[in-house]
Amino acid sequence: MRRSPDQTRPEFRQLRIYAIDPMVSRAGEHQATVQIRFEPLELKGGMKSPEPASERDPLKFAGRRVEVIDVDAAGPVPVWLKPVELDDANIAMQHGLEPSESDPQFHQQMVYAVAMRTLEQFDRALGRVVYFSGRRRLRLVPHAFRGGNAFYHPKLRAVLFGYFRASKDAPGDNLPGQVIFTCLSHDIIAHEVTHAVVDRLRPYFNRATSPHVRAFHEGFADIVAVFQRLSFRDLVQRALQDARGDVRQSQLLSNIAAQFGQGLGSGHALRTALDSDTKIQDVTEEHALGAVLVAAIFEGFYTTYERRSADLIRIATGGTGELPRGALHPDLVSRLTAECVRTAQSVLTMCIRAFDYLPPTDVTFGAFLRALVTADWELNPLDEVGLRAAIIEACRRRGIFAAEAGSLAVNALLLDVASNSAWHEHVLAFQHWVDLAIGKDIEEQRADTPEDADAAEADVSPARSFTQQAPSVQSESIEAEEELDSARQLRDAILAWFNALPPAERQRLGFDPVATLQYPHFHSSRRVTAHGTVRFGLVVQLVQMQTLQVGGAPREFPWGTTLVIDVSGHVRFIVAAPSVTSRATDIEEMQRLAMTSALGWKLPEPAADPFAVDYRGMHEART
Amino acid sequence: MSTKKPSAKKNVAQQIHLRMYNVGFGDCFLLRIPTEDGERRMLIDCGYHSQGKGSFSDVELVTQIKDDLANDPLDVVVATHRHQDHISGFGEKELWKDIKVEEVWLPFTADPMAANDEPALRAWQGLMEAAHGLWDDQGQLKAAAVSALSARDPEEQRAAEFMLWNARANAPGIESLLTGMKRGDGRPSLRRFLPEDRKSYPTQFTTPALPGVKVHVLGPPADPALRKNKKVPESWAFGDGMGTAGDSIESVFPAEWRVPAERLPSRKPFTDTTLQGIRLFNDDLLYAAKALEGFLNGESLVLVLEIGRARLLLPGDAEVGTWMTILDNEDALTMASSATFVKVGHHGSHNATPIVFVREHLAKAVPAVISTQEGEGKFRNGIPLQELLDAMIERGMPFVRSDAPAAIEDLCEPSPDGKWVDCVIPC
Repeated sequence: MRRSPDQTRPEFRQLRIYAIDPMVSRAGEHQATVQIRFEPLELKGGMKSPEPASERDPLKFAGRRVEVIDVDAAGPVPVWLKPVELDDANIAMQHGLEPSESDPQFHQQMVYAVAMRTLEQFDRALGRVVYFSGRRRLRLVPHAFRGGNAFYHPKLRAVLFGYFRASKDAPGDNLPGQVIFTCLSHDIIAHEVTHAVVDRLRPYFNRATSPHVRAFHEGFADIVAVFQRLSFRDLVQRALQDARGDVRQSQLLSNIAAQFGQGLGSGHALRTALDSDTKIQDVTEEHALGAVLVAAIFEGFYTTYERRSADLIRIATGGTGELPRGALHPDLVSRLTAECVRTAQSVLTMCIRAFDYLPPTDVTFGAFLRALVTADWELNPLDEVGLRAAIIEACRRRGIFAAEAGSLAVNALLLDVASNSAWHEHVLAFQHWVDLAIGKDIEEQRADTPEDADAAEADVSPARSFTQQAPSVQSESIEAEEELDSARQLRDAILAWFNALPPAERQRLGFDPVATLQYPHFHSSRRVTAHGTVRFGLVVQLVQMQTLQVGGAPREFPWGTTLVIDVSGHVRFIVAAPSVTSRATDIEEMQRLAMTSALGWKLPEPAADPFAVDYRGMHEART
Repeated sequence: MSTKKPSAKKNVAQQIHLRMYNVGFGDCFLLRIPTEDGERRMLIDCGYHSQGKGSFSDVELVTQIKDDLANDPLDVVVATHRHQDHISGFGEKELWKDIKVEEVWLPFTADPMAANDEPALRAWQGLMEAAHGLWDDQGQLKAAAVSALSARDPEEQRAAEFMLWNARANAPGIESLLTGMKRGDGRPSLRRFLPEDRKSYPTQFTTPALPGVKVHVLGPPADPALRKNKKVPESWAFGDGMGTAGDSIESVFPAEWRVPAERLPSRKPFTDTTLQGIRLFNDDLLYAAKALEGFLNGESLVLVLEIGRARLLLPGDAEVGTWMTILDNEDALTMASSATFVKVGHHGSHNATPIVFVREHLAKAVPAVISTQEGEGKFRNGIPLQELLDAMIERGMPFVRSDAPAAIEDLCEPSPDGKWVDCVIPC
């Protein structure tokens, strides 16, 4: 509500994007308007230069968490493109620039819009603003290189998008020789930004001690992309009209990155959320594994959607269940759309909230399932809609179990509640932590200005391995963060507490008695209880490094526990990763796979790091 | 079937003679097969890589073959796949005019008509022609291509050059194989694009050119996904001249969108070093070269010749995809495992012979030949693979290398000047 004529700052910004890959949306119908929180966007020149501002042009525009730098490094001389001024009145009043494949400034608008939309999904689901490490901005480079790929580069804190020409002879639905920009695919942008966020939430997931870890990265990123797209109401409405209400029949909704698969000459979309009933026991390859996870969640989603829309169908058909031929009644489609969007949003929120309940290392599908169930149960214990049950069933059908849970009953799947006796003595210490965490939140909200993102560059390491297509974009070790005072205090408190524990006590609590504690990550949490009240809490990731002999040489692997602590200092859940020694066979296998050729011979030049996670967007399956 | 003589002694008519020419990094084998209708002659590949020359130049090689044939016709010419190191010799059209060839066998992917069923083949053909266009008349890589590779380190540049040389369209050689060769009576040779029946797998056939011989075709697989180890390269712009990659390529965006050079600040959000590093992600020439390499190896014919009781396994340069197909199929695997003589694939590299095949499927003590030459650099490092040779020794397999021939009793005899090795295979 305005109180003075000077209050003109909007709450939201509307920006137009392609909701489906441009080739498929040539009809103009598959554009969407994304609504994101308004933030002022500054045009900047980059690092502080000696020349006066009047003599140089800006090279990027920056918000609080994200900045767009449009440089084309494909040729021998980098080409810098002018950044768009989205705050310009003329542009803002038309909801951003008109979607166009040939307008590079629209591409900048699109990556910004989808990236922010994705970040806001995480904000909303997690109940806090997710900053990247050190509160530095994530960079988006819409036309970084020439290639049919896109990836999150952890060292550069950037998402690099490639562009390429469609096959002349087998272009699929594209025009032969047409330039295709990966930055124009909503799915690819959302997928890559999700990698960046996951890297932030669980930095130790960058050690792939089993194929599940990489598969989880891929699957989760696809889940965010697909379900975010399912929240574009106009798009869903049109798709459901075409598919006569059946989500599964709509390729528009279930295909992932349709144009890119076609552009690559394969004739079909890159991936699809629909899958036959492949079980995880039947596949070992990481991308196939990830696809099973996506399929399981998608099945849970559409089962629930169908259940929720069953009554609408009954009403519309007078009980026969047979929809009339031809187009469905627009009111019916509208209601079905509402159900679809609502369910998709619930699924996405549930999946993101699960992060708080994941172990800090060595994620497996079973751990994710338990985290999902627990996250949802915390929010709505009764599961009236049956979404939770549907997902559990879909996972069961695909062989996704939590082995230690013993059964698929929800009670069994819920994370173990901490046995009080072991942790009871530390209640006071944890209360203090919660105090500090809430203090940190308050400090954060007051400190509205972001840290200056113009920190020193990291160099891109050149390609080392002959077998790799491109230089490694492998994840690196965790950097120390620049942080607020209260955050540092809390971190020190945690370290002090741990270091003061005698080895016997450490063992009793389930830690390694000897190893030091790595840099702890934490965040405060808020949850709504069954009574509707808000309770504060704290989630802490405690990680130690354990040494294991792999292939004859000692290697260090992170191992850790996530503690979910209540405001009273009681530990509500303990989520421990399986011990490193119990993963020895898996780890040996990863090492072996990385060092042998597909036909079984030891490679003369093994890949640099068999346990690194590769954040490239469009992977080739290992042959 | 040759008539079996009751005598236990080795009878000359019961032996197949194989001459492995020492061509360096390449393949060239001349087979003499005894049949009820007299001796038949078969040539399998004829070429070498210019950077891996052995005892012959192309002219010398074909001349030698002519001399060895002594006016006898060649009943079958087999070109396992279209890599230069297997077909460079076929380009000597003048010399081939004098050699009578009854049949020519090629992988079906080389059939110009196959592109109708598989449009991607046309694109690969385009890449091969583009690779051809990268070389000037002196056999040097053109400046534009050199510039395209300049971001890479020297090892990778050399490897890319090696592969690009190998992948050239070699118009004279392929033309000769497709249309040039003629039979004794002047009619064009019969071309077979194998496997001819692509609905079943594996397939076998007989031909009047080799009476009594059954030919089993275990590769290439019909499914395109199995014939390449990398995705088809995305930057199809290379299809119309790979050279454009390195030229001062205009950004895809016209000048009005760009920040003019004089207005660029001296310190930018990304340093130039970083940008050079990002440029390495380009799907450039190196990547296209690797993809083409994988594709052409993947189109290799894999044949098992059943002659009497001999089974000759000739896998060309077949790679992972083809081998996975063979290992997965009971009939194909049985046929391959029953080999009594093996030509080791791809000059003994690590991606042409599954370890499990040598250790578990192939019988013990099966004799083998390896046509190879050691060399430096990323690409040739590990060819032939020591581990593979060790595995063969472990299995008691007597084998002879073209580049280090030694006489092995009951198997082979090198020529005194080291130009070839003669082997005998009982049948």
